[in-house]
Amino acid sequence: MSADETQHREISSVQMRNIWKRFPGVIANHGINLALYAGEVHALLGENGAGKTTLMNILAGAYLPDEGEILVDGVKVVIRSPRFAIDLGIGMVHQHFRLIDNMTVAENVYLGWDNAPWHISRKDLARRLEKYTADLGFAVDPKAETWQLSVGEQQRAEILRALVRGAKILILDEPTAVLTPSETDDLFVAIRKLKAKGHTVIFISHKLNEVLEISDQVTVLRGGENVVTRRTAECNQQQLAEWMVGKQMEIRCFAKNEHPGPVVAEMRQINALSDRNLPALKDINLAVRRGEILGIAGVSGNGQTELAEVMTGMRPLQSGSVWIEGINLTGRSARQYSEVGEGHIPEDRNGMGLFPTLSLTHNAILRDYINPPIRKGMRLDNKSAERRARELIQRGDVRTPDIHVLASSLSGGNQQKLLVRREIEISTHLLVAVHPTRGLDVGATEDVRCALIEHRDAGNAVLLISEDLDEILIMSDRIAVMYEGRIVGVFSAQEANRDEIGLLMGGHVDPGKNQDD
Amino acid sequence: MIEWIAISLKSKWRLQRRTDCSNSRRFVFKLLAIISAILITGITLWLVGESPLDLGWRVVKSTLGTSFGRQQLLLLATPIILTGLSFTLGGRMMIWNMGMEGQLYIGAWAATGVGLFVKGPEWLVLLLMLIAAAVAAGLFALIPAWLLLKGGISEILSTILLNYVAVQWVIFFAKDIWRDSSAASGSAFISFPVPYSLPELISKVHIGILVAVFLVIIFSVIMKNSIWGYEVQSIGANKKAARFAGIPVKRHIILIFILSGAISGVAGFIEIAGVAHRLSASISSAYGWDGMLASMLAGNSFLAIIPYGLFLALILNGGTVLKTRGLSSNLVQALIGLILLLSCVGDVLANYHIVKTAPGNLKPMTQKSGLEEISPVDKLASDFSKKN
Repeated sequence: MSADETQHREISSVQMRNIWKRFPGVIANHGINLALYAGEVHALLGENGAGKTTLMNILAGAYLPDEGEILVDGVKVVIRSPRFAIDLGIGMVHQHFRLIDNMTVAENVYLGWDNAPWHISRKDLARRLEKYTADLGFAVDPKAETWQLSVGEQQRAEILRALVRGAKILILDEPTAVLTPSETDDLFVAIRKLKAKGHTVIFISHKLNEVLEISDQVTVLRGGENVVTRRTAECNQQQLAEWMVGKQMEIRCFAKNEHPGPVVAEMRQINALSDRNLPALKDINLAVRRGEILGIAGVSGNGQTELAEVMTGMRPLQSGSVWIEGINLTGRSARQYSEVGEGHIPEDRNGMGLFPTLSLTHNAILRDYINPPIRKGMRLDNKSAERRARELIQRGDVRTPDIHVLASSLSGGNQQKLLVRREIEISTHLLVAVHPTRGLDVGATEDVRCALIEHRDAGNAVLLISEDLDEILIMSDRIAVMYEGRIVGVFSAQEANRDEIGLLMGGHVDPGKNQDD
Repeated sequence: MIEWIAISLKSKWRLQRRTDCSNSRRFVFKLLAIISAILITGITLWLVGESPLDLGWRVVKSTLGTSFGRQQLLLLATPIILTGLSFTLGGRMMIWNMGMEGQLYIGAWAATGVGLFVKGPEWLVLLLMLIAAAVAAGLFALIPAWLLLKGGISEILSTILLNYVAVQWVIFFAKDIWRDSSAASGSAFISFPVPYSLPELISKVHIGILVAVFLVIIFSVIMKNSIWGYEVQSIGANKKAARFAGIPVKRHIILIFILSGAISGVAGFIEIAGVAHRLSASISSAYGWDGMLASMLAGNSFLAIIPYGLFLALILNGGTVLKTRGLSSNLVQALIGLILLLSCVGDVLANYHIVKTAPGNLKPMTQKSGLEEISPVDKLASDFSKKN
């Protein structure tokens, strides 16, 4: 069958029954049930780590469930591969796009086309896709190359790829996380069209308003468990939030500090390049004070990563200077930054912050092995090192049988608690925390946040970078918004307004708000 | 179509990774693998018309049962242990030095140079030979280090290619500059003899084996108990995190190349001063590669290089015995390869057990106090799921 022309067999229902999936240290899915019907938009709502993506990866053939069964139109199937999932009519659009940069949209869409002819020109391929998109009302230039596309267009190309291959059930994993508000609206229009054509769309999200707007059914997952499945029309925001977060785990409102101390760290007129040698930071001026958490809000990829690296000596500056406690640290090494008392919780916990294949002790002393008592001349005192590791584990409330296990054997939450504690211990002035709670469960998130707040209350400065606007709003005493490498607005906790910050994050520059400091 | 697939997937046996693998289990597996390799070898010998039991007995008797056999074992194990140490040292930092063979030749060359032209008390000249060998081979290993750091050229490629350079360099000296034309050695070209030799430990066995064991122990201790060892292991485990903590990665890479080269150079010195006494193109019979094998069999451990070096030497000597019994050297090579291959397989298999599974109904993973050793693949999978 040629994938794009033949009408695939219609699927009228898919049932996932009692799905279990365990990963080392976590149970991602505890006996989840899910029923999907043709022509509906089914939202999967849940926090990070609730098991939404795992469940959908099982449906899309990326994982096999440990237990449980999947029925398509009442027939039991074992979805062993993504390939088979597509043959069944199940397509998934992942959160991180899987497009090839220097190929055109049409080439990307037809990649892996079953009955591709021996030769087909770019033009024919583009025409073919145009014909297909025309009656779908899905505007993407088929001749554009991927790198020229906006994020929204890339997403559309991904969706087209799934549709062209005959997907009747389309799984969208946090599709709006990377979109601007207007792109989100376009996506919703497209989803409604697909629904009208009889497709089933699974919409994964943790945003309540979007779920209420677009879905017909909603299933809420929490900690890998199925909390509830309802018709969306019967739900309201309050109720969904309660199901998603759980009553006892209500997100705490931390007290704000309205009277911060003197300036600890300052960035003056900073310009820096990204890894791809494009300007990533443009004329950044920021100051962080003692006893305050300065939150940096922004959609990912607007310079936050580079900002954190510049502030910790890991990325060279083009111009400008970094000052900590009155010392000019411009051009100094990462070690010199840590020696003046700056901690850094890096974005990529396993890639940069920890040694997954080495013991907890090895990981725990990374910041102070160079100082006595762990260092004794050329010697490394293993006894002191172990004592140090025990201290960190106890203070950071890291759950582990002992200090000799490998870091990779800890759960993500415990790894992060160890890392956060290690960095807090060395930070006597400033702590740069990048996505400190990404991928953590609710309990670990709470622990990490409390640790940061405590650190602030002890009179230190915290620079908090997060994609999660809620986290920024909960934690920060002051909020700066980044867009395309610039600070486009600074708010105090009192004047912070969710909608206004949201607009600025999406690039709506308000001429009334300029950089301060 | 769906029905067909549903039916076609019946329950089956599959290998599943164990999360707990004790050292004794690993040892038993290795032993089983070696025994099965020896059995296959025996059957092969029987098929070509030899009497395997008789041959086997002879091999054991002449490698372990005679003092000559034991001497040969220790002499052969020495360069294997040293080059194995070279490889493991680099491997700790994910630097893959495949140039032990060449570094050994350069070390032998430098030692010969000093031995031929420096006159003095024996102990002093030997010491100078040792230093010259280590320095020359260390500097030789700087070439791939420089290529790696400046041009990003894989050290695997450059070290392998430099092996050829080193051998040709030695041949040039052996057949031209230092050639001993009076030596009646057929077509092989050899240099003048070096008049100094390593003191003997017991009859015919020089102190080289002690040097090798000593160096292995020293590096094992340093790696566990020094700031330098901590930094090297950090770089090996995660270069980005090491840089994050301000560890000077480049400086360590250079030093590791020099040390790794120097140790192989010392092996070259020992071959000259202990065994060969003359420089030629045949001072090493692939010791560098045998050393790499010993290092890989020993896994990540320094101390395990010693028993594995001895084991390899035993197998190789056994092969020599078989050859003298008239077996074709091709067959002998194939049998040695088989034994080594199976012992590697046994090592890996120890990490797995066989489970019966129904499709889509994998056995739940065993949970050991909520923690377990994870394979990289599982790790990726769990990271992925946690990101959700």
